[in-house]
Amino acid sequence: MGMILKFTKRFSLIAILLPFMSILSIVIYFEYTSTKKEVFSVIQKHYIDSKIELFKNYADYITQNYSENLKEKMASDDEFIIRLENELSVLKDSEIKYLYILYRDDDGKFRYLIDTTKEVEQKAEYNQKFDTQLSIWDNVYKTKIFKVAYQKELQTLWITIAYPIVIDGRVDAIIGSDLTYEIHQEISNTLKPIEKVYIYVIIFIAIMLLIIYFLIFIYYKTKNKSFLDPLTKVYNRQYLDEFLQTKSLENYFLFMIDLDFFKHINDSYGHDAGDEVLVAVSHEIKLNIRTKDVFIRFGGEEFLLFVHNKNIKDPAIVGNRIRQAVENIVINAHNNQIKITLSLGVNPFPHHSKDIDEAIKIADEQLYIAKTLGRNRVEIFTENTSESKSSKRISDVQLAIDEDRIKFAFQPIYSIKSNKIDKYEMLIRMFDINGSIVTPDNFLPSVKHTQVYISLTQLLIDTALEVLIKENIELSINLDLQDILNDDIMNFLKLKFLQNKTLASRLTIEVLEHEEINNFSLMKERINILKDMGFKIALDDFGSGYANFRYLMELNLDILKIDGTIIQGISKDVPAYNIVKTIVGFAKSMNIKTVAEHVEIKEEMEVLKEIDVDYLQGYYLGKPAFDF
Amino acid sequence: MIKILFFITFIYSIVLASDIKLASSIFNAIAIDLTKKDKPKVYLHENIKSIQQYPKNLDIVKNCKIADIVILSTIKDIPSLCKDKILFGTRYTHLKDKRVIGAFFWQKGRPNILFYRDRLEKRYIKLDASFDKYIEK
Repeated sequence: MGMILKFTKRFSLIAILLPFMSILSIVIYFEYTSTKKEVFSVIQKHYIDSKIELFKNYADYITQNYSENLKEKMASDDEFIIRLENELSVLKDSEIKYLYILYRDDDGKFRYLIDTTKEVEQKAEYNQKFDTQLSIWDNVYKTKIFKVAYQKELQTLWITIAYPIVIDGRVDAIIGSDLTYEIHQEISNTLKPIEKVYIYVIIFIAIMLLIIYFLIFIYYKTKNKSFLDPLTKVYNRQYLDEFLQTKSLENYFLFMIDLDFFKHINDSYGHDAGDEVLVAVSHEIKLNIRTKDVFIRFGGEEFLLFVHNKNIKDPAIVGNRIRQAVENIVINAHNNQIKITLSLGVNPFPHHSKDIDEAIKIADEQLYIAKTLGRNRVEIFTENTSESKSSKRISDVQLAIDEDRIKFAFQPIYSIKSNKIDKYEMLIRMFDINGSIVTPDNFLPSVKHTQVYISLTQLLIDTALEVLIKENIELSINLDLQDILNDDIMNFLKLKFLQNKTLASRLTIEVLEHEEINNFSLMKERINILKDMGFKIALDDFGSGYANFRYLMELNLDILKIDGTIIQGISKDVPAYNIVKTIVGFAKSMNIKTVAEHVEIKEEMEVLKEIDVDYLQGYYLGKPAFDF
Repeated sequence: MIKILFFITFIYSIVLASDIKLASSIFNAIAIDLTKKDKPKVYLHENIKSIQQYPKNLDIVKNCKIADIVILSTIKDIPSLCKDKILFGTRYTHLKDKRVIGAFFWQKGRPNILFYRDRLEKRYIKLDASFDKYIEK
């Protein structure tokens, strides 16, 4: 939970950082290109301006000193050409690759007057034609203003400047100058350090982004794997924390779903078939929910379903749709045609609970009710129950323990053989704040699997011990099968009775099962430990629930308590009579004593005596009382 | 790594190729107009990289006898079999030799084309009007 929380916080930070850095890198890139362009253009302008200033001075010099037509003078004066070439050469520097003077002839062709180029191959002769694609030369003649052209077609030249020599108000010639492309390189080199800084920043951001993307990729890959149940491909229990961090329970109905008699499928068809059933049922449920609903495999054959409550008034409709859909499918698992049903418990107000455990507990209570009412049904927690049996029950029970409002009643158990009350069954009762008695079926389910339940059991054991010390009687207490599998309860029993085997011998532990035994060997081991400690073990409510004859054979039992529903009416109900007679006969053959519960009339007692039941218990023989 | 090196070499060759391709196109246009043939036979004296690399419509021949035109990289040692052929230069200085009717050359980074009218007329060659601006009297 902690790790997921940290991870989520970290990624929230990344979620903010990521777009910020992306925008930053784009801004930096544009800033860089625009700065580079700006700096380049400033340097370039500086170069051009300095050359234009130079040519202007020289053009003025020529205008002032050579007022006659240059071409005509050159045609007739070789020395003049040499002098002018020498003068012009002085202007040449490392930035100017070629410097020359052109004129336009009568055909409109440009020709060289002077060329300061030294390389023989590149030097043009006097009057040689000058081929050009640029319009700047004609424009200079036309406007008498200098022109600058950027050479895009030619690889070695960068900029060409054409500066007019104006004599007597007309353009007589043009100073032509080609700036070398090396200058361009030089400027680029000057800008390199700035460029490097920007490149480093961009590389840094790019690396950061790559790392972030990689982390996000890893996160989602891991997250998807760790939150999915490998068998059913629905979310697993770990996803619950993630879900609760991002979603409000206010928007959801909480369903607890359990496959009915799933253990029978595993036992009858094998675990592989059981797995296929789980996959098929998960798939069917997924088909009947929406993408905004969240479906979680909570453990074994139990599922949690968070159904988004938008546009859904009655969760029963959703629950029954899912239930019927699963009921209608035939699952082909390992060549077996299997049908299965679901029981669903619904908590429509999970947000009313103080935490998710309590919300689940309420849904689980409803599931328990659905199971006890015959399975393949949907039970919904209502507002009324929310007041009387709501999530407050856990704290109510804890408060009752704290305020000493948990009491134990003792119901006599009559021995036919000795013809007297031989022992008492301790029955837990809770007094509410108004002093009314609350029976255990109204508060035990809500605290089951909680520490409060353990506290209640410890209170029961403590009280039993006190009574056994004070009174010379036998007692029996009720423990759930799950209690016996609980290490805390087992350790508590050992703590209290291990050194006192005599007291333990007067205590019967009545084992009651609400759920099937999944781990028979562990159950047997625990019962044997209890028997070694001196306790007698009774199986409660035999004939109802899950208890069957296998329990009698597998578990080393001392007493069998026949369920009251079979005993009631035994004096008139022939099948009930036969069943009880069979049970008693079987128990005797196994050397197990029998107790008939719910004996309410004399006729029932007589019949049970005739059948040879060992003990009787019921209102006819004595109601539960808080004293003896 | 090899892919990157290949890519760099490829880009470099494209940049370098642009001038060579341009020169080849110009040689093509000139040779076709001078010979009035769609695929003139060209004898190269000696090596002219742009034509050898991108001959396009020029049919480079080894024997000057069958050539329609000779393009020169030098005017030294022109084979005798070429003496009656149209000679076309690749430097301004080639034009000093009056047998050379024109030249295409690079000067100051710019392509230049130059023909002499009298030399063209001597061989009864009339160029397309688009070449007029390159013809000197």
